[in-house]
Amino acid sequence: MRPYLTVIYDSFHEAIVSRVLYILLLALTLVLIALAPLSYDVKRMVKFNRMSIRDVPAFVQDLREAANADEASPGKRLVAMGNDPLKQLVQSDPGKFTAAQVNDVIDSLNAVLPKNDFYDEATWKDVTLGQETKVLLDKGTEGLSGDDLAYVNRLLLRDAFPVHLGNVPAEELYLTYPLMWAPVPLPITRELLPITVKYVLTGFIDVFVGMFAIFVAILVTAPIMPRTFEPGAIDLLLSKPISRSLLVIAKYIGGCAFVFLSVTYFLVGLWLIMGIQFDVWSPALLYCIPVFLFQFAIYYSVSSLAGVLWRNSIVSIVITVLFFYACFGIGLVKTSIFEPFIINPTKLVRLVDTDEGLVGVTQIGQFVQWNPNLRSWEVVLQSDRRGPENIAMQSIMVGPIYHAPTKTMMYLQQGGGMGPRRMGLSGGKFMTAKWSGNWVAETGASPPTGGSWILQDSDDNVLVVGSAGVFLYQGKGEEKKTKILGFDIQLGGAKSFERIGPDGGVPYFPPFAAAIDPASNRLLIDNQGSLMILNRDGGKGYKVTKQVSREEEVDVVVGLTSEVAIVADENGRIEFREADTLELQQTLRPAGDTPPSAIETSSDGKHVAVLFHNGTLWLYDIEAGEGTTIDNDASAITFHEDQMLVADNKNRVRAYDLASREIVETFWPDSDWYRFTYDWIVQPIYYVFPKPGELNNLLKYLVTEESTTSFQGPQSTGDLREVRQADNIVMPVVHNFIFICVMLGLTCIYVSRLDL
Amino acid sequence: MAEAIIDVQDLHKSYREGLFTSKQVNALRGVSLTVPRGTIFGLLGPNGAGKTTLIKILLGLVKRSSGNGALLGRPLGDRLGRKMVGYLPEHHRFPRHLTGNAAMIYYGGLSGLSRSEVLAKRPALLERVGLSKWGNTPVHKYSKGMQQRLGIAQSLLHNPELVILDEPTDGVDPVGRADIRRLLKELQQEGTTIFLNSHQLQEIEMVCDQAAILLGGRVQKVGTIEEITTHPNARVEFVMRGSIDQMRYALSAVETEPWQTDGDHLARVVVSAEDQAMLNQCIDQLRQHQIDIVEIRRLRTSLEEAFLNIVTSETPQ
Repeated sequence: MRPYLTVIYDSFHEAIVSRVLYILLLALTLVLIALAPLSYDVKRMVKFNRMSIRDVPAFVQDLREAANADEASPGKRLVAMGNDPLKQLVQSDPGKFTAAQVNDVIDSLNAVLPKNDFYDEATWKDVTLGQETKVLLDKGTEGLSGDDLAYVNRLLLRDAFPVHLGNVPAEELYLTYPLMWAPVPLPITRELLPITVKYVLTGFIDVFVGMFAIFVAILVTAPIMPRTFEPGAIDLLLSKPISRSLLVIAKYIGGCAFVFLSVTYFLVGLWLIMGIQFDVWSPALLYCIPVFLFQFAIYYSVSSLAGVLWRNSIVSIVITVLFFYACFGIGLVKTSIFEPFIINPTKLVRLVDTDEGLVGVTQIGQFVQWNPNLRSWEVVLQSDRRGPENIAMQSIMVGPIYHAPTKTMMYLQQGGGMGPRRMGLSGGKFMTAKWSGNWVAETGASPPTGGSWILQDSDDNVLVVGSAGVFLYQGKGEEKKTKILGFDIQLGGAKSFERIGPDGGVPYFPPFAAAIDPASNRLLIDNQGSLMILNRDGGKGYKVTKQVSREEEVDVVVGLTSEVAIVADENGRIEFREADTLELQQTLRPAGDTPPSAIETSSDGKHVAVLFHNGTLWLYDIEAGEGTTIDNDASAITFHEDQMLVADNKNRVRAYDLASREIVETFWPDSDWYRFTYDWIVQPIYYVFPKPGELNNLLKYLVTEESTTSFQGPQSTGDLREVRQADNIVMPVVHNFIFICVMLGLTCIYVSRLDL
Repeated sequence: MAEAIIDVQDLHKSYREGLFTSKQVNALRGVSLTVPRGTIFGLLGPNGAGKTTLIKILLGLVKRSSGNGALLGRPLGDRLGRKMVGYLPEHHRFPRHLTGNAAMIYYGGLSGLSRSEVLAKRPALLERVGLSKWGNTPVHKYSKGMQQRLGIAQSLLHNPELVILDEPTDGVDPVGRADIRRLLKELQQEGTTIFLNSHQLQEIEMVCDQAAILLGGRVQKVGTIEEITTHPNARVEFVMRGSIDQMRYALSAVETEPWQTDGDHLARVVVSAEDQAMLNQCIDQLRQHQIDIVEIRRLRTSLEEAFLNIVTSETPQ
């Protein structure tokens, strides 16, 4: 073993005495020095901004109602003490708000914050004050001034309007870089700082180390093998009692020394900076060292083979760079051309079985219906959505559900960028698509603020669960229209949704989760780690009958049957709880730590299906107490009577009989040329080719512990129903490892047969 | 007879010339050779004779096409066989990043020695090859001669039983050559066998006990230096006193070179005596004719002459 250790040690020695290493280390040091002053600052939130109000029109509507009421209320006081533009907005009801009007509302709120007579005990007597507010009020507001007073008033407003202002963070974060720029406000909370830092860090090191450093390493290490096999040098080496193959392996391992030294230096430096400046002491950052080493090892295996074949550094570098581009090109064709522009847009993400046939919703929000004659999915409706056509739904579609009595599909089109990660202004839209020989879409009434779930009870009542509670859809209501440039613009109906409870447990902060048990009409709601069962209050209203706290406050999807409540969290853990007491019965993790995208329950309440973002479909038989993985490539699911309909990533839908688990019907579209090209050319080439670039999935997973990527990027709400791409973590590692073995094997075989 | 440290029989090696042609080049055509333990054995031959190919086959650097052989009693190319062999290739290159001291540690490690073992042996070895003051100098700053000395030092680190040196004095100044010759003799006295490939015929002649002349992939001559340099038609020089006429009469039966006389009674002549019997007959005839034999001496050729004789006689005109 000693001879081989000597070779490896010599490679380290060679790297250490290499001038190039010191130049690279100097460059890395300069980068670290440049990054070192970067830090953050936390200040109390003493101002409102555009992201502070969830739904401005709804907020102003509430102010209007308060202003017109006789009794004193915070809303009335706010309008009274606010500036003139707010008063005009409250009086005039403009319907749609312009950006300037939104700013007027914000300015009015900020205008009252410094006033020390804003708080009046009588006015706030019906408001449930938060603990922090009570403590500060007990100390008295008389002596307060400046930011302290503004802070108290902001808390008072938050307590008075929890639905609209309740999720405003108490602190504001600023990015600081001493001597260079003024602190930049960050649109994140302190809780989100670590994960945000990790995301940014992943992107940075992926580009900086994954491309720059490794490219430099390829250039530096390419001459090692050719130099080893130079006449005179190799004779001397192989005259020693060593094996040729092991010499190649030892040289190969030693060649990685260069990357190991430079990457370790940089990442440890970065780790220290992140820890000291951002308090993010993530050991996962150090796990990235072997990942980059592995990534380099792929290129170096190619470089080594070329090096022994041609014994020329230039040829070795050229071939390695060509290989680099080939890998990049193949990955680009698959993941950046075919999938986002051709394959994914047509992928079915929702299924609805209507009286008129099976309807699906594609990833970009198109409604498609199965045409058995053409054996294809026909576009029947384009949803109202934002963003480019060909990437993914930029906003979450809630639903659709099919309302059989009116032959109407109903769905909520949420505005993008909602939720705790980022506040927004749009309340979204309630949409209907009625069948009259074809599906005709219509924008319905304005949905309740924070409307996130659309459910249907056993009496075909349509319920929308929003931030303020549960709302009953009552039809179009009083529609409002306005004429702009000669066109009728619908403003929605103010009375289309009637709030039917509950009194406690609200507001719900998106992304909360809700589900209904169609047998009992009970609701299960998870809001910030608090799990609630809502029962009917004798009429149509709802009241909380049971509430428990879950261990972790993480994003979830939920499902409810008459017997069990199912909670699947973003870490892939599924909790089964007793439906009445919410007592935890068992915990399962059938798809590892992949987050779920949906839970569906069969109408008889005997089956629960959980769909995960990596395509795993897990079906649980409640009576038998057994769960089975049905599919690993599923994209959408729904139950219809005694069948389960499953769409896969090839847009094929299978109908399973729940009792026998056999496929009873298929909806398989004929393959077209691009699907054929993707399935039979792009995919196989991609499969056999190494994937060094895709190791960034592993990198991201190690640093952020997230195994999926949201198409929304920083706009992500965290809602698990968002279109997400399951990151391929294990497969690239395995394929790359096999590739390295093959390349090294070929190198060893060549060298062992070589006559010197 | 001493144990053979190298023993090869009927070694053949042929290469294909070019990637796409079927033309074969025969580098070795049935080489058989035995090198006794404890000798300094020289390998001679013109360029392209197959000397380096033979050495590389012995060390397993090149695979033989056919034939058998053993190195230190183990099959040719065997890794354990190489363990007790020190080798200095012709035109060797040391890694540029190493100093002389580091190179010793590196090659010692490759030979299986621990760092401490190398550190213990290094000073004496560098002293022995005259590099003790240059241990901390990077090898890329070494002259050709210094690199040769370092090459010899690294080949001796692990106390090998056999040292194969390919042109060890290439680029070395005359003083250095003398040092190397002295070192080789010392090694021989210590029991090390040395297999020396050199173009320096004079050097071979001075240090080697035995040699082989390789030509066109075949061993043309093998034996002790004396055997190689002894003329096949043995020439014997006689210095005689007596009657010149009697002398000429006595030696009239053998072939003689032109006579040299000194006065009427002293003559010097070289006769060709094919064997000992003929030489005895010449002596008998001279005595019968009352001729005094003042001096009798067998004449030898130089190694260079012998080498050129073989090369010119075997090379097709």
